[in-house]
Amino acid sequence: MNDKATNIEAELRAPEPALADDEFSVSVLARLPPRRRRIATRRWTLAGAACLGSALTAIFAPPLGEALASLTPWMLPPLAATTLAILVIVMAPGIYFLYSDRADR
Amino acid sequence: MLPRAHRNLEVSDSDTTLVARVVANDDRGAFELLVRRHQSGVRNFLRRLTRNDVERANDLAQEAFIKAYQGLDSYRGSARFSTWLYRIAYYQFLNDQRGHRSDVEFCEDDHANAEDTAAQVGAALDVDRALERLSVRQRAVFDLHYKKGMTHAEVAEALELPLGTVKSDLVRGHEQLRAWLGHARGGTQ
Repeated sequence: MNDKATNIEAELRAPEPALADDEFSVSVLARLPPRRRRIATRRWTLAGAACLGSALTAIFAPPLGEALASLTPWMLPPLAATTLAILVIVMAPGIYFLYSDRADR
Repeated sequence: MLPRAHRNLEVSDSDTTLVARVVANDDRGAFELLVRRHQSGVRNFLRRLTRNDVERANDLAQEAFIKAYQGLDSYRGSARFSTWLYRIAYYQFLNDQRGHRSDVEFCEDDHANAEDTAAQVGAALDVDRALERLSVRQRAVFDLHYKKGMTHAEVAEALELPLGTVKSDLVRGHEQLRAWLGHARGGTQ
């Protein structure tokens, strides 16, 4: 029984044959997606989102702040309301970008 | 042999160095070296999982390397590159397996008939043939441990299994192999 077990163990540990590459790596390389373009696209997306966020903030933050301040039943200082509005406007594209980046992986 | 365009690469460069070059500069020569270095192991691993379906194993290996390339940013270097790569190959196989219903897994009923089947196979049942009769997970565990020389912990990490599961797969797999091979070989003596 022990001999059988030893034999099986030895056979299991026998090295497997090394497979020749035979153009395998070439065909993998030929099918690789354009990685640099993906990175560049993401950079432009991030830059665009930042610009858009800044523009939206400049346009909408003050009125949004006022609207938020008037809607809340408690006294929300205009500065806090504006900060909240800025956070929402700037963070939305950022969160979207981060989420899509993660989902891609 | 490396292509001329990548002469600045050294065959002795570690996997981590090559990965860093791919991530930083999209160095395809470095990635090609990684593929050349690991293609045999990954293809053998997938042949084991596909029960020696060479064409399917090669296709899956290609897909695994492409996935690895796409996901290199997420490789943190906490595990060996090969461990990470075998994990991708394993999940590539599992995903593909969902579309291959004909490749019936070894199930409980098979256990009941194992000795009869072994007797039918007779002397032709060598270790490789016997390994094909194990479940997918056991085949993966046995291949990574015995053929790739991974420790139990590395196998657990590669296949994302609890350490205890890896150990019990090895123990149970051994028992099964001993039963099948013992019966087959004993019957011919």
